[in-house]
Amino acid sequence: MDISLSEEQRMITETVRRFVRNEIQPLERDLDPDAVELPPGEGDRLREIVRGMGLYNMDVPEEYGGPGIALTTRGLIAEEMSQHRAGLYLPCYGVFGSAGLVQLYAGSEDQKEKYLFPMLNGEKRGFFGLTEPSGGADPARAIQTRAIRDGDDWVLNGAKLFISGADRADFGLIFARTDPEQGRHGITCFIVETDMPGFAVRRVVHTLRAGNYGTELSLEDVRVPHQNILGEEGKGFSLANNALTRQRIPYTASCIGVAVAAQEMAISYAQQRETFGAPLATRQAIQWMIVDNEIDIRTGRLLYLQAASKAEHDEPFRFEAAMAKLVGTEGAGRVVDRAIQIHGGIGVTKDLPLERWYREMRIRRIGEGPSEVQRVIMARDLLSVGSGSNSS
Amino acid sequence: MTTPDRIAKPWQDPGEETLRQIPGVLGVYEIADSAGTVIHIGQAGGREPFGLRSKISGHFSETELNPVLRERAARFRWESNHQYTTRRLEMLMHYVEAHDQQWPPGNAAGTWEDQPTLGRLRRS
Repeated sequence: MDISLSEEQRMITETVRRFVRNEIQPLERDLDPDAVELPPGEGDRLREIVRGMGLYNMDVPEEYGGPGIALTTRGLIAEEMSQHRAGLYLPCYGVFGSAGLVQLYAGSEDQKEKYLFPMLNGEKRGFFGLTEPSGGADPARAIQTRAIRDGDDWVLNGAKLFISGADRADFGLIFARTDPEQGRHGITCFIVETDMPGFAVRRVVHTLRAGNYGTELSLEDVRVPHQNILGEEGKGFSLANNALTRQRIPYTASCIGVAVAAQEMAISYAQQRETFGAPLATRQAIQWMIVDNEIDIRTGRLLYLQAASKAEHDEPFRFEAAMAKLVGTEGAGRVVDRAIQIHGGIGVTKDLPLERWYREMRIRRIGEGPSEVQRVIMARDLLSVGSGSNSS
Repeated sequence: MTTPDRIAKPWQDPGEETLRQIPGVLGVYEIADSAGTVIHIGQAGGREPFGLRSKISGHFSETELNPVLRERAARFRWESNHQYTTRRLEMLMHYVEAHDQQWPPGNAAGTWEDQPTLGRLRRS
């Protein structure tokens, strides 16, 4: 694997870095430390700049009008985009646009007309409804939401938890069990419109993070037409799982970005702050923390780039994506923790972004598959074993 | 466990001593008129010098610029909450849902920060 950046990658990352430092970070100085949106007009202004950079809706596939960004480059961009206070869960406050729900690209032409294209135009919003109160780490077994066929419709009953964006969405992808005997092959993905009778957003789920908060959903006798099945009946799990594996790369890269920003702050502070007559940077205890930070950052970066490179070459990359996610999120958490330790008391105040990063980074060891599940994925490949005695 | 739609505390009058006893912590609050009708839902975030104490006291001082609050603010209640951002959004969503999509009048007369982008909560 060639790990040197191409001239194009170098140019793109430097452009995004300048954008974050010149446009996003200055705006945040006047916002609440837990802010989740920009002042009126700023979003439109910044989106125009991003369009000029050629990076708006960069995750949209080329055949649908996207710029065709390779996954390694996408990781490098994610690393730059997260380097501000809200950057972990609201990178650049969404002004780079979105590909929306990538599963919809596998939809029928009618589904694309009704849901995908309006979503890409910004006319409709969607949400991804996989996790349930019964668990999220093992969705193949945890999904209890049931869908029962009734004539030309399916009737859905169940609950979903930690679902981001459902309170602002026009429709969502709901994964439900259509055949309880078939394990992961009994899960089907339905497109559910949020104004369908029986669909409810019950509450906001308050967590450590401010932006992109989760909600709890309930489905009571929600009647969904058969043509709203996305993909094939019983193939919902693979539809979700394939996208989740790919998503682990930018997810990890954004953690590394925050770690880079925390490390820059730690180095700067260690060089300025004096204790007992000398800068902190001259103390071995601090030097080791700075070096350990750098090791964590570079390890995480190499692993996500390796995973992305394999994906780009159409090689199996599930193992590499799992390792990158595990090492990157845990390492980035340690970096932010050490940066706070180097700053001392000021590090835990809301005066600095470290406090918000520390809270939000904690979620990253759980979200998109917790560390333990990443180890399970890797162990299966190394040991050539299945998923357990009840594997299905 | 769900959080209540509103702050589960009795209203307080804005006497000098009562205002002084509000803790200087992060949180959310409601302001009501003399009839107990909610007219404003707000938050004391990380930039507020004395948290809920300075934020709420400011609404009952001569420095308050919001015309609705200047004219009608009569009572308050607060809730210490480190998740003040999502808690305020939740409270505003409940209010708007229960009032035919209308904002609390004090929020409607306030700055952009008093009117954050809201989702829709619907209960079955």
